[in-house]
Amino acid sequence: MSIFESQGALVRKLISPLAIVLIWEATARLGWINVLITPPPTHVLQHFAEMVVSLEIVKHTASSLGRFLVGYVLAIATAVPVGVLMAWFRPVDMIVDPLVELIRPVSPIAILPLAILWFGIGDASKIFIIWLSCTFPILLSTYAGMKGLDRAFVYAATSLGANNWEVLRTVAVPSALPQIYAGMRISLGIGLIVIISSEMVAARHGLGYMILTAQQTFNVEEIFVGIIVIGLLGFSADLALRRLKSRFMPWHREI
Amino acid sequence: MTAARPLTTPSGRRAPSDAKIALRDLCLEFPSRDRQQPLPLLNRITLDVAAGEFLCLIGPSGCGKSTLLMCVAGHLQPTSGACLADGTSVSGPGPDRALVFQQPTLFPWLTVQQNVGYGLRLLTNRHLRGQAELRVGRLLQLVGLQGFADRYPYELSGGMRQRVEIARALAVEPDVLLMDEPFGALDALTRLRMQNEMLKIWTETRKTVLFVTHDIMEALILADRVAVLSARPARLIEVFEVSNPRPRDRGDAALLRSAKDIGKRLDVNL
Repeated sequence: MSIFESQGALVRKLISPLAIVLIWEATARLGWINVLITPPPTHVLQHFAEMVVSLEIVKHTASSLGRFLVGYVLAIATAVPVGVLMAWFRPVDMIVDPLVELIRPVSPIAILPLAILWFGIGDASKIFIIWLSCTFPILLSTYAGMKGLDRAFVYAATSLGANNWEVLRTVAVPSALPQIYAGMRISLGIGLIVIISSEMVAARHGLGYMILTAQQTFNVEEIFVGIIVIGLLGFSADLALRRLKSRFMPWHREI
Repeated sequence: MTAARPLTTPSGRRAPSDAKIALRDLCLEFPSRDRQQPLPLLNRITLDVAAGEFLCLIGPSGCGKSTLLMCVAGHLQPTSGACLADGTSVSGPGPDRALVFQQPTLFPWLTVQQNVGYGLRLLTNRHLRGQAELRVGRLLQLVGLQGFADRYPYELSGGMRQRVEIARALAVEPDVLLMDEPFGALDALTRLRMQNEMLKIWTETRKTVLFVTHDIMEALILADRVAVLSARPARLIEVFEVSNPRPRDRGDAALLRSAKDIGKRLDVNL
């Protein structure tokens, strides 16, 4: 489950990334690749250290992460209840499903210009886009999890005296939790893609804005720093989500 | 002398006064998808189960034994005829008739303790809450799982899960236990152990038990009476009374002869 099962496993997992970094460094030093557009890892690392000291990178990371978290939590807060209601009450399904199917295929980035008109160039338009793009995977997986409810659980619960509402609350929703979690993990990845691209379209700070500005000012080291931070951000967010899962769903085992 | 003798009437009818569960000409049909005619599953079954009685239903697989049990549980409505519990028609599921399934239906997101207390928590929301914990503890002791209160179902063996399943059903203090091949998915040794366990529990609680099985010996070890059903649509062929005192010896000659008799009614040579 955890990537840190043992020291040995950790070391083995580090072999291939380290090899690539070493080859990259060597070829850059030997002049086999153009260091103007592909600087060696040591230069990137040095620039990263400078940006940490100046708090520049902290500022950009914080604003990207903040926007992402607000949009993501809002998406969970809307998608789970709506998915539950859609699966449990047919009329809700009939009303909401066509809307979902109409909006879902549209790329969130295509909606961003409209969102900027509505909510301005600040945080709100990005949060809106994150919310929109993260909602659908969670909504659909919640719906699927609820619909996949095993009849035998319902028989067992009603035979023990549960009414319809108690079946929903104590059986149907808990049994859908693994699926809801799966949707949350998918949305996590999508949300991180969308936040960076939306910041590239229009923003005054954030990692997407930082990378685009670095490209325009030919600060290639900073592009690489941005990419690395985004990678670390995605990795840590997923790790945090998995930690939360083992905390709140100790009965669920991932294979 | 045989241990189990057929009653004079194949109906298994008893005086209506002491019948806990009474089935009267019970018929059930399923609407079939491709054919015009509905698919008959139960054919005019009339049977009484006395209060405190242990009755086994036996029949070929797929004959409708489980369907019959689901009717009594209130999850299926009969097409015609009546299914009475305490003289009133069964209209839906309820904790007076608790179900134990073959496939463990323990809620995987609840611990053993929470599973057993599930029905109690539904009750105690309205009535008494304080006794729930004590009761769950006593039930876990009854089924021999005191040390496993905080485990999750996935951490238990098949036999242990089935014990929790039984404890969960007993927790709501049902009048009737409806058991659908509860030991069918267990290995042979565990099944024997669970049969002994079941007798112990029944002796202590004296519930009315309606127990579906396809294992003739299991039926003869456990039951006061064994009702034999035909292949689909299920008809009641015969009701055998088992008079041997418990605990019964699985190698007892009379019991083996009875098994042969029941086997004959099911067209099986033992």
